[in-house]
Amino acid sequence: MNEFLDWFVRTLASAYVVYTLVGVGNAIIERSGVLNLGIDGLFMLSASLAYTYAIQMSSLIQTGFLAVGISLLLTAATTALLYSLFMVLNTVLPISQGAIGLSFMFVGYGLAAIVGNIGRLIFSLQRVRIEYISITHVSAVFIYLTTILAVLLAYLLLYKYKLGVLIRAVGEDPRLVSQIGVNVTYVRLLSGLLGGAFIGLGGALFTLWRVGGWSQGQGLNHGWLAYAVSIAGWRFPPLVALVSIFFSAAYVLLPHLQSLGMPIEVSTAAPYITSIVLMVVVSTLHRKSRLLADPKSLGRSFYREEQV
Amino acid sequence: MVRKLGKIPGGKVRRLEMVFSSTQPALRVTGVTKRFPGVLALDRVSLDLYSGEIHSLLGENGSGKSTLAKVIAGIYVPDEGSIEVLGKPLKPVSPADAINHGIFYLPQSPNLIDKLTVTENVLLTLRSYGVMSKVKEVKGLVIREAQNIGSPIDPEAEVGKLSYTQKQVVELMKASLLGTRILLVDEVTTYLPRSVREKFYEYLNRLKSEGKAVLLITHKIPEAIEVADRITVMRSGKVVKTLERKEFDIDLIRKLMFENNGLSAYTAEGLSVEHITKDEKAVIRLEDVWATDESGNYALRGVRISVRPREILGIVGISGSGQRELSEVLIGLRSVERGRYYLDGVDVTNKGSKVVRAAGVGFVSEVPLYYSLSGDLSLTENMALVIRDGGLFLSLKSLSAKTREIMEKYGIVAASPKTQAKVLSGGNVMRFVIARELEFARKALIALNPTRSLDERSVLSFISTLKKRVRRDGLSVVYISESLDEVLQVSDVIAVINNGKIMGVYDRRTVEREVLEKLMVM
Ligand SMILES: Nc1ncnc2c1ncn2[C@@H]1O[C@H](COP(=O)(O)OP(=O)(O)OP(=O)(O)O)[C@@H](O)[C@H]1O
Ligand SMILES: [Mg+2]
Repeated sequence: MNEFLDWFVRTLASAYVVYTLVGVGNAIIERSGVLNLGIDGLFMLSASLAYTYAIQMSSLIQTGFLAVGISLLLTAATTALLYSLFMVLNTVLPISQGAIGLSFMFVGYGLAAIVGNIGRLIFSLQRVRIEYISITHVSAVFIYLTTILAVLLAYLLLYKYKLGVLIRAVGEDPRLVSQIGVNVTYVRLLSGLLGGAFIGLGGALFTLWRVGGWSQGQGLNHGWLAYAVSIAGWRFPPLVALVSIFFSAAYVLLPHLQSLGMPIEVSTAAPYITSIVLMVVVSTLHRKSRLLADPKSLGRSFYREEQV
Repeated sequence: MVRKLGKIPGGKVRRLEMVFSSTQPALRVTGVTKRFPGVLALDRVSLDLYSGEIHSLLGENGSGKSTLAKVIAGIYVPDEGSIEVLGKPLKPVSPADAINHGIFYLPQSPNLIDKLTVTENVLLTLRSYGVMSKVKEVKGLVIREAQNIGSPIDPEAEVGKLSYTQKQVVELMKASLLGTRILLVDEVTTYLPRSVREKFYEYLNRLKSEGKAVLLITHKIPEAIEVADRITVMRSGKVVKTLERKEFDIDLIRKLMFENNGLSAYTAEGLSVEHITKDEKAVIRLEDVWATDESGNYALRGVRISVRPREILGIVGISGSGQRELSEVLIGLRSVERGRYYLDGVDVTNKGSKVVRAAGVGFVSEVPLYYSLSGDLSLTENMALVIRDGGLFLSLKSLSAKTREIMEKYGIVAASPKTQAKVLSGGNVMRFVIARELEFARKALIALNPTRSLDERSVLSFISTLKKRVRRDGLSVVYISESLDEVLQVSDVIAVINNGKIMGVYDRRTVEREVLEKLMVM
């Protein structure tokens, strides 16, 4: 029993961190009015990037701990840049956000495989040892606290600083905001950088901490899981962090009900069902608040037709 | 007249005060042309605006006033022509450039994000604050500026919950904090209650004495004559003439605005009282209706009214007396806490607007794009929203022909029935909604300040069409307005609303103006 508890706490913590970071990152992206349909592809790509960076770094730097740390940051930075591109394209192209999002998703899937296999190749040539972050109580507590701080940071930036005011304003009515002299593309680029960094960090921790390795197809669908967490938490960082607790618990626990006789079809669907249930629960609890309301222009293409 | 430069205590906002020579205009527009698909909105327009003047821009609905202001504000890029600020060309023209040159556009519908607070909305526009500045930093500034303008406002209030006047105060705060030197005011005053309007003009005069330039767009000639130093009249996208103060003359200006065509043709027609049989049953009847506003306070306190067929009930009162809530109750958009609402004797209390509209009740509100039109849809599609026969298989083609017919009949200026509602000029949006509702209403029409954004000629033509519908088709009308003159001109029966109560109901033929005025302010 003790062992089970120990296992549960550790897996829960690592699942929690990944879905929370990616969910909050998605909140930052979508609060600016861009539908984040690229999330699953870009998440998978960041999971692969982390692996390849870690191998490359481990061959350059002797201290394994440092190599992995740098890889985390590099993955976050790369994902941030990819997301800023995603946001800019979504803002300046006269194409629907759905089309751009899906393209990024599929390109992300493809690149993820390529990047991961490059990592494999380097690994087979150099035979480096990667110092994955092991899931110990110490690392769990440390990363867990960092995640909570990151959530707090996201909340402050979104609601207490001008950056957040700009992001939310652009998510409401980009046309109006541009008419009062704000550069919508720039604001969305910033939200892409910030949200992308969160998502990249989540993807990196997925590979370097939660899984501790890379295999073909790694991370597939986990972007969507985080997306569900983000939506169920109303794209409001503190709520996302809260919802993520229940979601992650369901995710790590329910599949094990299989051993208690639950059919596999049900147990694999469990996290999704949980997320739907959570959304229903939260939506019945939530009173109409301006902080929780959906961004009004979410998914609507902003092509400057007005600038004629 | 250099006052302050650089930082003001506690804030990073620039307060630029420039020294203007009286010969060089603050703003010079030369030969500006602007075309939209199918419309020549501006046709080689030239205009000088000097600092220290209030310059009024007059013109009938759709004459190009707002387009000119938007070109100056960098929202539209002109096809031809140039704009100079203090002798320097304003180029490339974008909203940010215009703001940097001290130009601020105060639009008819405030450029504010409803879901953000007052402070957040102000911070959004202040370019001297970087992305990492705290929202808190500007709160003090907002409070101070609100006091300066003379209208205290809660900096934490959600803008969507503010009144129209308060929203415009927020816009003025933005203008002032941005160090605006050229203020473009587009029809703002039309929507302000009289007392606030007077304060607003005081404020404009203060700006003028500080050496700022104000372009005041309006279609109320008397107001322009009262406050403006010069008046420029536009018609069909062209500047007809600029008048100096000594040339001001209401008839001359009217002639310039409407080219003398048609205005006298629409004289207000006689009253229809004689058509009403005294004991006919009421079409609309409210019995002791109580309803609350958004913040839960009673906006209507025991309202009792009844309107018979072929009758226009005018309801007059100063703004904020419960008119908006009353109109919403009548069209079924606001629920009633107590009391009953009968339509043709059928109880429709809290049955919702679908039932009320299905019974043949039309609604013309002062803000059609909020209540009854979708800006993104075309005019034809907006027609389809209310037409009931044909159901889902209604042919857009036949509706398009019908729309075109209505556009001609009501003089709606738009490129085609396919035009999106939001690109119509303010007055033409109003004309369109009036046309649609007048065509659609079979039993009754609820009108809330319907003439606000209409020019004089459109007002008269609206009133005469309305009366025709009342006489010929037996429509019942509830005509809610803040203008006593208009209510006196339109109604058969007049009720005064004050603080959510009906203060008295009078026959138009016998009531004295003073009696009504007294009740309005009691
Ligand atoms: N974005 C746009 N697209 C197409 N047509 C437009 C657009 N903006 C304005 N127009 C057209 O240009 C003409 C002038 O419109 P404008 O809004 O300048 O009139 P206005 O003088 O302000 O009238 P009002 O008193 O009714 O507000 C109108 O015919 C209008 O339909
Ligand atoms: Mg206009």
